[in-house]
Amino acid sequence: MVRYAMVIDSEKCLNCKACLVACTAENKVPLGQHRNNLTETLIGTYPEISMKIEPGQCHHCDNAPCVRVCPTGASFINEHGGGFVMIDKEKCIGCRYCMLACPYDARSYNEETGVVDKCTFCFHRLAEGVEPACVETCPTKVRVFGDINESTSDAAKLMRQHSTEQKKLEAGTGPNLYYIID
Amino acid sequence: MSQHHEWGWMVVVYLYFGGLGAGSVMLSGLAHLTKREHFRGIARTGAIVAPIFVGLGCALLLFDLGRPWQFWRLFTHINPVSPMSLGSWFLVIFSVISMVYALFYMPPSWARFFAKFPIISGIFKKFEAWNEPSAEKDEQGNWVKGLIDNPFPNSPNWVSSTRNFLAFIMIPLGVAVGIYTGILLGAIPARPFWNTPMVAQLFLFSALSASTGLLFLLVPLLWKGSDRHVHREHRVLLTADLIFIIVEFFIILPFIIHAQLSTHSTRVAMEMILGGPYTQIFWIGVVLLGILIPMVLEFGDFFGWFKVLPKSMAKFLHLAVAILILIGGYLLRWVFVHAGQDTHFL
Repeated sequence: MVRYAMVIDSEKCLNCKACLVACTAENKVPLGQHRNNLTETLIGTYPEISMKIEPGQCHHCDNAPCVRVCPTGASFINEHGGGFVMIDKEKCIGCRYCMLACPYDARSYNEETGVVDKCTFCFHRLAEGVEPACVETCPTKVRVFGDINESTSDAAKLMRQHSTEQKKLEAGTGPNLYYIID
Repeated sequence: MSQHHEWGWMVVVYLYFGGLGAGSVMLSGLAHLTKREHFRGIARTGAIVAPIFVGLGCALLLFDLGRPWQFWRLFTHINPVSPMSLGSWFLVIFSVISMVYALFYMPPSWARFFAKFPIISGIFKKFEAWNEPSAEKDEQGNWVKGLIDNPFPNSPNWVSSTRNFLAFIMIPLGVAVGIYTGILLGAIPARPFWNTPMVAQLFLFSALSASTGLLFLLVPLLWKGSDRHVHREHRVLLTADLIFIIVEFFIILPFIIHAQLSTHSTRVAMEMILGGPYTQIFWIGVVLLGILIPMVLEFGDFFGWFKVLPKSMAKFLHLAVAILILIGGYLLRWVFVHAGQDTHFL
């Protein structure tokens, strides 16, 4: 079965924030909301100091807690379309239970429409055979998107060549963002 | 407390009102099924306030939604692993049945008022007759001493049986609503402060405790009995609360101990009330004012120490206990809702 995932090499990230801009432009995300983010962590103390930059977004979990708690079925997993976690905005009533249930804080709430929003892995672009906006725009190719069940895909190749880790695996979420750690 | 919280005061007040409604109806059902002749005030007051509080709570919950008018979607889809999905069904079933139960316990004067309106006039005239309580005063106007066998002598058999059945069924429904509010918070691993099996029990017993305070204040308004009668109801409420509050205390204790022995995330989360921003309000507001002081006063009352005090002083202390447990119940929910949202799975 097709299982889309993203392999992320944080080492390559320059913190240029092009991915944030591309996502906002592509998906018309309202000002003040974000579907993806960059976290900056200081390591060490001055003068022996460095900054770790890490891209983050929805992990499109296999066992998504947001889907489990959703009372109306608005949050769902697109089982046959690559396993994306999606939101049906017609069905969302804006209770925000999913936002509390997400260990990655990957969801945002639009006060005006009263609906919760999140990364879709640019599902609409995929149908046209184009990569997600954040992947396409990244100047240093931090993110690689692809079907990890297909051994010839770039994502699957990267995962064979490198050691990767998934975030907060202990929360039982089965996330699909793989961070290269070597 | 710096961070923006998705769930704010409306959810806190809903959890509180839902708990008060659930607790009150459980106490009403218990009073009806055990000693309805003794505790007529508790049975009536609990039955009447339950749908009001749960209804107000549901209204708040509705307006907290991003799209309140889409709320019906909660009932066209069932997600059996979502506490909110099941909970909304519990709330609807609870509200409907508790309203029917309230009709069967409505004071005749209220039924007389509703009987003025067309269409519903007929049914309320019936309730006015059925709900007429047995007299507590004899022909000379003296209070009847001793037991009253049948509190509703004008109710036909089937009405009495219906009332009994409703009182019985309201107890498990009250447990469901009372416990669900805790499970709602406890069901998500992403918030380690909530994600323990004890939150559900804590909320249930806190709801029962706060309800004794609520009924303490309202019983004299809804049941005009003799002083002795009201006093007896007040004593039994405080004694019941002593049990609830002790159970509550011994849920909070393992809640904190368990967290110290648990994973890193849970230990860090518990720092919210052990040195973190919610420490003072939790220990002073919830534990000291809401549990320990009422516990000591109720113990004193139970062993009759208040008898040496002047009557007005004893009355004041009783009133203070009722108000303190009501405040404690609210603060408990406030602390849990906010502290939980400040914690993260690490």
